[in-house]
Amino acid sequence: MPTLYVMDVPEFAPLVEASRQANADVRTVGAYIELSTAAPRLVLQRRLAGGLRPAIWFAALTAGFVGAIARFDDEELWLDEEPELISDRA
Amino acid sequence: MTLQPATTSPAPPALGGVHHIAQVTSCPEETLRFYRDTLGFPLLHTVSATGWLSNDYPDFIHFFFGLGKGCHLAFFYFFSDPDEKPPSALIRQSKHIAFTVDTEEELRNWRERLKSHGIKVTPPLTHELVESIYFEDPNGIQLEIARPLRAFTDIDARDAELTLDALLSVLKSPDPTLRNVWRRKGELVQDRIRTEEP
Repeated sequence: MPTLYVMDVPEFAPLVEASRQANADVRTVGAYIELSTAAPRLVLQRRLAGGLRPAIWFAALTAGFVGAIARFDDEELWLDEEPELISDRA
Repeated sequence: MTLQPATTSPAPPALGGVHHIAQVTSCPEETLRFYRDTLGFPLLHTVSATGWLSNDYPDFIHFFFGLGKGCHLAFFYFFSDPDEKPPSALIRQSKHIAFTVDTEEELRNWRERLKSHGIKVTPPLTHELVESIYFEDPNGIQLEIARPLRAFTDIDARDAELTLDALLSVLKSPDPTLRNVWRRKGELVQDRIRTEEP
């Protein structure tokens, strides 16, 4: 499933809040927070992150992801299921 | 593959921070006026020498400004200018020196001081862990004054190890992109979680 990791530090907290509002699964794992969804696409919207400052928004993937980046611009970040898994299902 | 930090090697001897950073200037007068008069950094020391490291080493004056807490910024002026191509804008902007202040008020005061001397300075910009203003010296050296927003923690340090692991591994792959670093980092973070979870 598409998954994003963020460091469990104050500056990334708005990103976690945005994913909660988007009904993502949020789980603290050690020093990281794992944001994932059972849906084929994990969508994070910058407006839901309280207008997260640009330096943080554009570093949103710093702690790594699982899946495929379908969109990443100044408004939205979309992580899709890995292409292999989608083709397996077809 | 995870690169292990060299935990088995003994701790290094103690370091007390930066004594000086040395740059080269071709305009010593403007540099002196900027650092001593505009910024107000005290001129603390000079060295002038000939034939320093080799017979053809150019004659030079080396001068030092104080930055506080035992840190200095030094310049070389060479009497015969070494040939050097000007760097690209990206490299010029990336190689910068960031001074530090403790408080928001100090940052604001520095910005006012620079503006009152007619220096072009950015508004305060907030990055991950610092809030900074940027300006340029007469040599084209990019300068920053940064106010730390929080200290680096163990979480940052451990995460940094994984990022550099991911970078070094992706640089050996056929597609060395930032996206692939982030993807590799995701794998490394998952590995770490599996190792640490009971």
